[in-house]
Amino acid sequence: MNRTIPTVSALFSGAATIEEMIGKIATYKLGDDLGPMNNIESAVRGSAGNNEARIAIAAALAGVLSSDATREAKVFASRQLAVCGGPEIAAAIAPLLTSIDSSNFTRYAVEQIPGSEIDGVLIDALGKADLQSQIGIVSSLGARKSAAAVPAISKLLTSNDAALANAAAAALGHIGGADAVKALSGRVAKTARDTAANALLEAGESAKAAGDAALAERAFKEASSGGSKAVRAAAKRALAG
Amino acid sequence: MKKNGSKHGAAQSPGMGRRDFLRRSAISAAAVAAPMIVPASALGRDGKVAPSNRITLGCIGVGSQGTGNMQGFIQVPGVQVVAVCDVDRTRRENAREIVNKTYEDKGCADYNDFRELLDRGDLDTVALALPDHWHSIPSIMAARKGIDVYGEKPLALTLNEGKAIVDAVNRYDIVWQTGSWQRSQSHFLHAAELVRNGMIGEIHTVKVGLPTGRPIALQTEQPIPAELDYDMWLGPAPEAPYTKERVHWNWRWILDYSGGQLTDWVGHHGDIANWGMGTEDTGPISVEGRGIWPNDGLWNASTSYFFECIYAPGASPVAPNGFRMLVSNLFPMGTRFEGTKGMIHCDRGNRLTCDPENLKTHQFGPNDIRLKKADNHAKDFFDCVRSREKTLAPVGPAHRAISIGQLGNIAMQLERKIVWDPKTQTFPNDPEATRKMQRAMRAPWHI
Repeated sequence: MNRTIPTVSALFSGAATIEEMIGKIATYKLGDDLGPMNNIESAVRGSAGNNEARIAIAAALAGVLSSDATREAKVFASRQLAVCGGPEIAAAIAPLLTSIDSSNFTRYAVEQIPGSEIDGVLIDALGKADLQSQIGIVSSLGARKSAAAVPAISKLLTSNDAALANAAAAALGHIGGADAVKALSGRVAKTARDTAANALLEAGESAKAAGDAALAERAFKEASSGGSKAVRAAAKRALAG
Repeated sequence: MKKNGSKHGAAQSPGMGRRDFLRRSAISAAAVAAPMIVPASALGRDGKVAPSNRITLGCIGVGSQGTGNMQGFIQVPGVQVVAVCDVDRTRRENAREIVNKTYEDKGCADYNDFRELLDRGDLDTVALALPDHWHSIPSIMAARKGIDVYGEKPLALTLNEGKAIVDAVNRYDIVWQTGSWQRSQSHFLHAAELVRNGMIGEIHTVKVGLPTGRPIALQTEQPIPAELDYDMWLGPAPEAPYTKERVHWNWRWILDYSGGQLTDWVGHHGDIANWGMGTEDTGPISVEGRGIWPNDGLWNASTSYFFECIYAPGASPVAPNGFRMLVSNLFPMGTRFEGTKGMIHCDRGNRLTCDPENLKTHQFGPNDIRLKKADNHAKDFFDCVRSREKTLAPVGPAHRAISIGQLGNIAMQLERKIVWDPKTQTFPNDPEATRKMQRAMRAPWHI
């Protein structure tokens, strides 16, 4: 399908500029007419394959996240960014990651955007964010399988907060690799031991699938040394298999 | 059946795993005579199962579907519902009262937070009947604790969540039964076996007919009912103002929580399609279609849809040249297999249409391919909890069935053909489609 669109404004029905259309959603509350939202959604869909249009729309939507728009408008903008956002919005959204007031919808916007730029702002925000936001950021980095985040996440394995330590362990399991296995094999908060053991199993499975039998065995052996009965039994099966 | 190592686990010998214990108990109950000083009813005679041999069950999500399931589970000999959980106080108290009334005691505990239920330490099994956006987290947490799961279809909200559930179930070797109960009905089994045995030749087309979706007008924010923990109801989903048209039952029509009628029902008729075709551990190589998405009200899942899935040659043992699966609300309900020698259509209500017609009463021979048969879906789950055999509707096929719907939704949202690698479960060189394989979860939730 040919998705080439000649101009950015042509993507919006009845509007001359992106800013005008974005302005129409700033006060959106549940129950309001969805016309302006539909117009933007349509433009986002239409911008696929048109990098200039995509970047312009994404920049405008990123602006909504940090504006005085309603929360419903921000959540809407984050959904659209999840479709059309790119690495160019990294700097704009970075400050929003550190407060739980804005980090959830911001992560929704960027978690699936590929690229080291997004990894970078997520990792950088880890050291500045409140506890709930940290948990979310760690989870997003895990979902992104961000190898660059392993050192920063590893430090959180010993957190006094069980939820954060568990989120860190789970993320390292998703990311996998030798560094993650090494971190999970070391100092892990007692409250996160089962999650860490599970993460080792997951990392071991990934290593095995990738042909790294030695790393897989190391991860499975480490998992078998602690954790719940269910975890140890799983590790035993993994080692046998 | 109490868990080994728990404070209730005195009947188990040290080092004997729960699964060994369950299996041995099942054998010994049938083979060993009981001492006369112990009441027969306590030892599984006169049709009852001794309390120490009962399978303990916690029910998470006790709305209409969950309560209906629970009432079925209560009827299975040897199963003891010990706890219920729901974020709606009215619903969980109702479920607790049903359980207590059935057992004529007050032993059923109730929870708002499923994590507390999973942490009890005495559960052998849990039954999950939750909105789709809540399927993956408790499923994976239960698996990590070695708790067997009866989980409602569709397996998961997203492709990646479904894969994560499959991985966890396999990693911990738990028993999983999906609520795709059509497999427990003999005419669906007969249809699948006819197809598998080549009775209508090589299959070229499978048509999956599902229900039409529903739109609704714009809705305004309403006060959150006192009995509902709405933040917990939302869980990993994005924040959203409360309206009753968003929650109980109605979540089905909103993409944050479900994939619409398509993903709800593809776990039934799509599952039967895979069962018949022998494609339970694979998927299509491309998907393309169109959907109608309501954009003037609260509900936004597709109301009408039509998409085509192409399966590679050899993906199915009865389609050496490949086949296409068409999924739509425009077809008659059910699953229709079209082959070079005939046609088979099966649907609920014991509906089975065959061409040639005599296939309806076909008797299979000893060398024919036979599929697992179970007449009672709930009982099959608990039988497998004891035997550690595979259930009628295991987790892998559940994932592949819902994947059809998830892939269809992605193709229809992108309004173009998508190419899928069913082996790696990825969209090669398609970052746009790849973004739709999962969604960020609201903190503190993650898998």
